[in-house]
Amino acid sequence: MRESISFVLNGKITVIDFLSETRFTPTTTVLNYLRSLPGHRGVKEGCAEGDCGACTVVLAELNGDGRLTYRAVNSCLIFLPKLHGKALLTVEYLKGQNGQLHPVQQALVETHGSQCGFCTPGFVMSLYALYQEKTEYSRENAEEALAGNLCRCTGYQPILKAAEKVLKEKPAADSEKEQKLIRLLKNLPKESVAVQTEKQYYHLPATLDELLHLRQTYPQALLLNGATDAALRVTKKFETLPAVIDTSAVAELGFFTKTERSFIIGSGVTIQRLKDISRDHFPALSRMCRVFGSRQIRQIATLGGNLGTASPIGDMLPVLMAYDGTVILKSLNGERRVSLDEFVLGYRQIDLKEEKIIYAVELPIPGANVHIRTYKISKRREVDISTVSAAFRLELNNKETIERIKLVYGGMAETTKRAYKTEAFLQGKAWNGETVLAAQKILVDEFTPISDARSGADFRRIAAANLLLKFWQELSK
Amino acid sequence: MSSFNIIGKREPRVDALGKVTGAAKYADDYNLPHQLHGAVKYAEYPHAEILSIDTSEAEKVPGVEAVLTYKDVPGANHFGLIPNIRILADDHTRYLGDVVAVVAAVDRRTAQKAADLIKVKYRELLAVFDPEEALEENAPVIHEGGNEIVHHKVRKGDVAAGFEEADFIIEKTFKTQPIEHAYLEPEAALVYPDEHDGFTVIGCMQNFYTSHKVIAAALGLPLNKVQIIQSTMGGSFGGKDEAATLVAVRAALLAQKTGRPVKMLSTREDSIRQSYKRHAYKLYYKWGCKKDGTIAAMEIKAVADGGAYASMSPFVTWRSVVQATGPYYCPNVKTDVYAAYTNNNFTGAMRGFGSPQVNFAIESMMDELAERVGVSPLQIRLRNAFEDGAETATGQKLTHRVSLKEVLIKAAEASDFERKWREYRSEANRTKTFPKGIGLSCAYRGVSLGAEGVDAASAVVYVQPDGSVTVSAGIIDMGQGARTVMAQIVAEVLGIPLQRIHFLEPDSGRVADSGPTVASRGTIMGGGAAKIAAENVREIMKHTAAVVYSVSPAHLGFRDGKVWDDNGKSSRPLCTFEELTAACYARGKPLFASGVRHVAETNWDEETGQGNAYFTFVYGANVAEVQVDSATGQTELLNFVSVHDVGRAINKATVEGQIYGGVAMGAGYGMMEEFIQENGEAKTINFDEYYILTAMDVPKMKAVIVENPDEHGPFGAKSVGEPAVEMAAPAVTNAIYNATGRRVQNLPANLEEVRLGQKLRRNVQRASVACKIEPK
Repeated sequence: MRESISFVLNGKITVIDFLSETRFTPTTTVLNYLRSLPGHRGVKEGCAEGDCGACTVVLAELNGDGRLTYRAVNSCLIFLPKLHGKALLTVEYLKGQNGQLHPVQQALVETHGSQCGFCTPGFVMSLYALYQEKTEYSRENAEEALAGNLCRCTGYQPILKAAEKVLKEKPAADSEKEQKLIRLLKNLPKESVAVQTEKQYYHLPATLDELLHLRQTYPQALLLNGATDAALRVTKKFETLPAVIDTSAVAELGFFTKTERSFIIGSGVTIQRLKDISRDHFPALSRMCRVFGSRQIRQIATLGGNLGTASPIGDMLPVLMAYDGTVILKSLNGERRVSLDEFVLGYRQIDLKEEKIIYAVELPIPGANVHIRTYKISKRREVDISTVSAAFRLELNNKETIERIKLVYGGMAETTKRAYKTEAFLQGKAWNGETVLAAQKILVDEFTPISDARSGADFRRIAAANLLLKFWQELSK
Repeated sequence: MSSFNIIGKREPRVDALGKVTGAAKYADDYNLPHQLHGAVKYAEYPHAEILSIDTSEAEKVPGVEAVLTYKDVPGANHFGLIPNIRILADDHTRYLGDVVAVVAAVDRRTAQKAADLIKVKYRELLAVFDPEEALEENAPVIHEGGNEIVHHKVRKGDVAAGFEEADFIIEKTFKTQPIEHAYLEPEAALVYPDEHDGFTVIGCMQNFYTSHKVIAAALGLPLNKVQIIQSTMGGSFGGKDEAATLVAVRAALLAQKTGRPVKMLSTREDSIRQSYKRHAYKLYYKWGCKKDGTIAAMEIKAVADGGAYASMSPFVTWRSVVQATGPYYCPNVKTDVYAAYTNNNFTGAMRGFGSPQVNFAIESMMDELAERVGVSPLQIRLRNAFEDGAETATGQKLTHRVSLKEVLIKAAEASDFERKWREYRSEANRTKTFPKGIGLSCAYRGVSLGAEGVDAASAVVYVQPDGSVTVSAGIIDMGQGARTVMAQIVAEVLGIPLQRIHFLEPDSGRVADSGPTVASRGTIMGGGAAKIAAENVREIMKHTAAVVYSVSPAHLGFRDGKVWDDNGKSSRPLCTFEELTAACYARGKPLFASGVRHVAETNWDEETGQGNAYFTFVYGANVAEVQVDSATGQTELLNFVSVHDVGRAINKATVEGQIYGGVAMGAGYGMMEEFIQENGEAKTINFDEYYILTAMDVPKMKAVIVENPDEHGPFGAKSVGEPAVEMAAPAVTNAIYNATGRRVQNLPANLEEVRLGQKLRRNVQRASVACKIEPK
């Protein structure tokens, strides 16, 4: 156990010892840390909640085969201990030896991709990660990578042009700078961190066993992984989080296994990775992942974190329910499996009795007669909290009648809910337009949603019913 | 085609390097040792009398250095066009963004904690949140003298006779929503006492000459004891006028009280809560039309929500009244535009400045007219469009090139408008799950301030002894590219490379008061002044060259970094620019000159609403192509064409930048953006609730630049910043109509509006207006 964290900041090994450090605590965000340092003010605060991307930085890590992976993340949502064992890269790192610009910077200059410039370092870093990851250019890839960076001046057109320009160039082979970073990262200590100050303790266990023990010892501690929610309590409400267990360094939670019948996905798998993992066998899940927050969020937010918050408007739960997912809970005493249909007990409450952590989710691979679709209605197509979200599962028998149907909705009640009445009505009926129209009438009255800033209750009801119609229309094509 | 060296070129922006490397310094990037941090205490009722303010608990918090209320303001606590904005609320609160007290402490957290301990006693008053209700007789009075901020009129011809003559009437009501500027950089200022009993303010103020006056008056100091340094600005769009002044002046008061540097920084939530918005309008349009598609009469009434303070309401609504009838012939006009106080966030300048609201109504009406007459939206516009020499509703004869038809035709051609419009209005398209639609809009816009204010701008050009040049104008760069444009203009006049020019952000001691950088006047006014200043310097150089080389000054040319004798048939180089510079200094001729740009006269009669409102106008046309999800109402922007006659593009890439950004902002206004308040409480205070378009939402855009040089602008340049944004929304809603057959009359065209034809939540809000707070 260490009381300090070690990471590489723009090519220099940096150690923060929280016991002797007076300026920072373990719940200082990386954004606030950087902006307090001399010479690192390129990173900007535009919203301090992960919506604007002006604070985007890149985390570089060594992957299994000794190469670097690059992730663009929102520094306003990340606590300092998350940097432990990693490299933090900011816009200042991109400067060439003789002051020359990095290709992404050069492209932005040439396309007039910067006007007021406040968002620019964030865009530079999002593009830099994309470039370093040698991403193939397509407008879709560029849009997806940049949707988490807001710009009010350019209309994005010149920035998308810069992305095209720079991604079509082939990045240079591992540069000297990259090799140096790899050497530095190899030498960083990786063991667990435990900081205990007068006001706060913060644990960053490195193994599952440690995590389970900590969970036993500190049952009241806040468990977090991506910390996309927890950071706001510190920066917006000036709260001190007295006890934190950060699971993000537990490699065993980031696993993924595939059998003939199912996938088992660790709770530490990020949404971005889940999107790739699920592409072939769970396409509806993959699509939902694509519109889950921004890329910066997807790269730190995890499957377990999203399930753990049990948000009534969370995007993951409906689709995982449609896939008949089972959650695997773990404690020192063993494992327990709970169907996701029964996992959420009430508003932001989950069934996590004596088991202490969400370990993984198992998803059975659906058969050919199973049709699953997901829908998300939001004011903006992406990077937006859902007004209504839905996931539908339909199993037809060979006579085109409904063998089994599951209609799962988010945003319609205090929890994610199935439309049981409508499901019961549909069970065994012929799958046709008439049936769907009749079902819509039941569906409209099945929920009593609320009116809020996002939408009125009536719209939610109508939209929920319309989504079923949309489902039918899509399948009948 | 042109004989310019650098005008019109796609030069990289002169400030691009600092911006892509993160080196650019914004207001919050400045810090000083021992600086304190400010925090604010907000009003707790949208409308209340303040009975007492108890700051004693806040003062006891360790680390707190000062707590100020209005009583601690040594000078003027009021400011504004109509000076009713309070720096610190005194007798009343008028909206929930009013600040009752400010705190300076060693860090933000301490300052905020202390601010939370301030106790204020109020007597609640009846509040009003609807401008029409506010104008009713028994409405709660928000300012002495009543709630009507202003009432502008235009009277032309005889509308009654016009309606008599008409074959049919189109009458419609439209509503537009308040929106947030959403500059990415929130307001910030650092103020420190300087060595001669004065203060220096570093901040991001769009109209820093105004900020300068407000701060000096509040501190009780002469103007020359307050120096304003403009930091690089992270966007403004009209928003960092009073909003940024408030942040800066509060920091200044705390700096004066403590004698230490004070940083005042708004979080995004502070920024949205405090700052003014674009006015919400209710618009009543009645047109008397003829079968041939012409318009015999227009009767228009508009009511703008001015919110708690007057701010720019009188000017914003003046532009509305001038432009309310659009660029269309109509002999009989009666227009009334009102602005009223309410207990909502105050509203003020925002890119467009009173035109986006009326353009939405006009361009919706024009499509309705096309539908009634049975011609296409393009044909109906061509039938009614102003031409050279046209007379506007205010009786102004247009003496410049009126290029409205040119831009309309170019926009239609570039988008294949006529064919697609016909295809999409078919039943076959409209019954699809995802029908497509295409919509057209156009507008004209008076350039610069017009008859609403005094209009002059200054610049100084200084050729330093080594031949490098600094230029400074009383116009600031908020991101739009003024630095680059000014530098290009000076480089063109002096015939030297752009890299030799450095644009200095103005500070309050450097360039004479040039008025605000608003009204798309940066290039035409500031650029005009820079051109004159550069020409004045060149004159000095010419006279020296004439003496040194015994040539006539009239024949001297400046280009390619050299000075040329262009006398006779051939040109010959006399010397380099640097050599001539050295010669000037050697002869005691320092190369420093200023330039002042005045404008052609404008005039206005308040009673009749007649006069030459603006010295020139610009013309533009937009086409939006959308796809609507008939199940959910979700509208996707597919393509966008935006055509603008800018007079002359000084830099084509910066002009395109303005157009792309304007389209995104204008289309967002059309379909997504909305600042939501419920009983005066701001509900959309960060980007998780206040939506602007992302890279995934923007359409594929095509910008088409039309150039008809104008005698008033430098090298013929006019404007583009606001034209780019002001007509995008109706292009989108007209496209939605084309796709669905349903007209959106309330902005934004969000899911509910498109799918259901109404806003459910808005109805909730309207109902809640009735539950006013009763006085105790």
